[in-house]
Amino acid sequence: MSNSRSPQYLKELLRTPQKPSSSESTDIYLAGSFTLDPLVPYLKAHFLAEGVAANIATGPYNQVLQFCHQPESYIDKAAPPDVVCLIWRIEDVYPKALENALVEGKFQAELKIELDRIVEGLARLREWFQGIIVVSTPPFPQFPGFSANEVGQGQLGARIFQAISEYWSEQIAALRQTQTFDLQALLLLHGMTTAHDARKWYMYRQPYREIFLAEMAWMVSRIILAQKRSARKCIVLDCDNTLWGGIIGEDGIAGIQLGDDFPGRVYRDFQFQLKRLHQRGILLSVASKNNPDDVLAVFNNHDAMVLRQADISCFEIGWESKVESLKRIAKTLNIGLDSLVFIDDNRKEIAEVELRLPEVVCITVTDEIADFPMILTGTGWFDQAQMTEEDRNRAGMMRAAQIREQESSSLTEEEFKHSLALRLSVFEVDPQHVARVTQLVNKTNQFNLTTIRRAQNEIEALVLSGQHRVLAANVSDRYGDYGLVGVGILEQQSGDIWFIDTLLLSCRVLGRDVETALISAIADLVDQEGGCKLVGRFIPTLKNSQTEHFYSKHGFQPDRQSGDWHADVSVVKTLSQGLVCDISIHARQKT
Amino acid sequence: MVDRVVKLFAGVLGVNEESLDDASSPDTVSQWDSLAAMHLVAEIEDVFKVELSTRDIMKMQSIGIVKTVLIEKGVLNRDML
Repeated sequence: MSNSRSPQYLKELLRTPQKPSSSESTDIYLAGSFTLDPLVPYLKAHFLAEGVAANIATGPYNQVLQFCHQPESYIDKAAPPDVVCLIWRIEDVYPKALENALVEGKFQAELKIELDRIVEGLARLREWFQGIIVVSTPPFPQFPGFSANEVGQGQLGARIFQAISEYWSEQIAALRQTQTFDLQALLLLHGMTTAHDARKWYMYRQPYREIFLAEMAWMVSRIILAQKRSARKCIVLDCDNTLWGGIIGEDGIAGIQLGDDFPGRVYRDFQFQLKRLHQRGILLSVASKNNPDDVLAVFNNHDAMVLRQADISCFEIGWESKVESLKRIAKTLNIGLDSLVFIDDNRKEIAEVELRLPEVVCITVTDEIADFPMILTGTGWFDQAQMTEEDRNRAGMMRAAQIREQESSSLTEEEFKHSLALRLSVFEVDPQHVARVTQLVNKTNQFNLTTIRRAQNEIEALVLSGQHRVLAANVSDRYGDYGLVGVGILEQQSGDIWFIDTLLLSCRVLGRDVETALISAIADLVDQEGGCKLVGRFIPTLKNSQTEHFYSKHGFQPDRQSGDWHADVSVVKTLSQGLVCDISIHARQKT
Repeated sequence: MVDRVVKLFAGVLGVNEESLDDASSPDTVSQWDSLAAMHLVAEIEDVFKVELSTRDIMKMQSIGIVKTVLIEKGVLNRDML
């Protein structure tokens, strides 16, 4: 555990006066089956370290079930918290049923029914409460009969617990929009001996040691922050002594360390970790001071390589500084420097990047090479609230974009546009799109007119609101389907006036008239709704300057008083004429 | 000379150091409830690098007794008080 997560460090952090680095704050209601108060300072400290002021209230002791079924008795509906976090253990909520399970020798119907009551309660809470809900998994019981070191028990406790765990995860998976805090996995990671404090349990109904409470707070804060924050998108990798041991230019393909034995196995396992992240949609790039042919030969010909050339979105191999390579990678992939994580074994390179590109997260290969494969786990940089189909396909789409760029150089612009066969489809979103829309709303920085961030439940509410239209855009061309890459949120202000609350496009489709096609399609939809006027707003941020003139370029006139932009729907609607783009528009069927 | 034990109690209980002395107990300090007792144990163990038994903890019904327990455990020097 890193020092910045130790109980001592966290408590010291709380004692140090902070200048508020951001105005962000979050209200959290904690309800637990045991005394949760000691968790509060650690949770506050973890949020503080992220620039968020957390206001935390704790519910009464061991009333999780009552809370779920009757939340209105515990929280004020008029001033609800942003997050409700429930941390519970089966031995606290249903000690009798658990005891009976041991007697009967199985996960019995009685215990199932009791678990169902919690799930029903959660469903009821989900219906009543609009914010984020975090629920723990039941941890291995700290209960007589469940100890791991009793001979002759036939692993009865373990078998019962496994049945409970499986049942619970099936039930909870059916509940939509509930975040899981895997307390059992955390317990497994640290071990019951480290986590449990029997003295505190018996005296204060508080089962855990301070060090474990601090780790619980770390996990919970990550889960909550992942709901609001965008994650890093790309890992940039050095090659020599990072992806393999040794130096390819000197040792040659037969001489580098990569394979089943130490130390080659370490690098192979590290590559497995990277591959796993890649499968989740994280991009991989290479920045290496080498001859390109040497490096590519390893990717293509070395039997023990887990990563292959096709897994890498961008190669920057040459003799330029890593700073320049990183900048080029960000530019090629059309993502910000603050989306990059850079891994290198050379401290000098790392120091230079840290100094000149402070937005990039830098990781140095560990001195203890055996710890290296797990270096990215638990960092939180790739936490995502929810994986979407687009994430899984992103890597493939990025490669298509690179092929397209290479081809574009040999055609005239007009020829190129025709050859692209660009298609834009704009439609009102259904529940199935909400996860992806939320993700775009929270991570799109560059082409984003207002940069209003919203949680998933807020987007859901807008979808249901009669006054709003939440629109999404799919883009494809002959090189591939980019999926859902654009979002527009419209609000009917009065009669025939529609306000563009949100307008954004993922940067991977920019620069091919997609922006114009999108605003024109939006105007078309507003027209179908009987609207006549569009009102747009530009809210500048550090990153969206490229959209500053978007409205003026698309026929909107500035309103001197409000600073907003006004246009007639009929004018904006016709902007798509002359575009080489096949546009389709689908309003939702009115029921 | 700052009394480390009193300082610790004042910090956890959120009261003035001057309002506490060896006779202070859960009966005389309203903030010293069972939740505070739990925080006090955590803080004492952290600051004095000591592990208290449940028997020790049950005994600790005044600041004076806490000092005695810590002196017995060899983590607090009587002369330093």
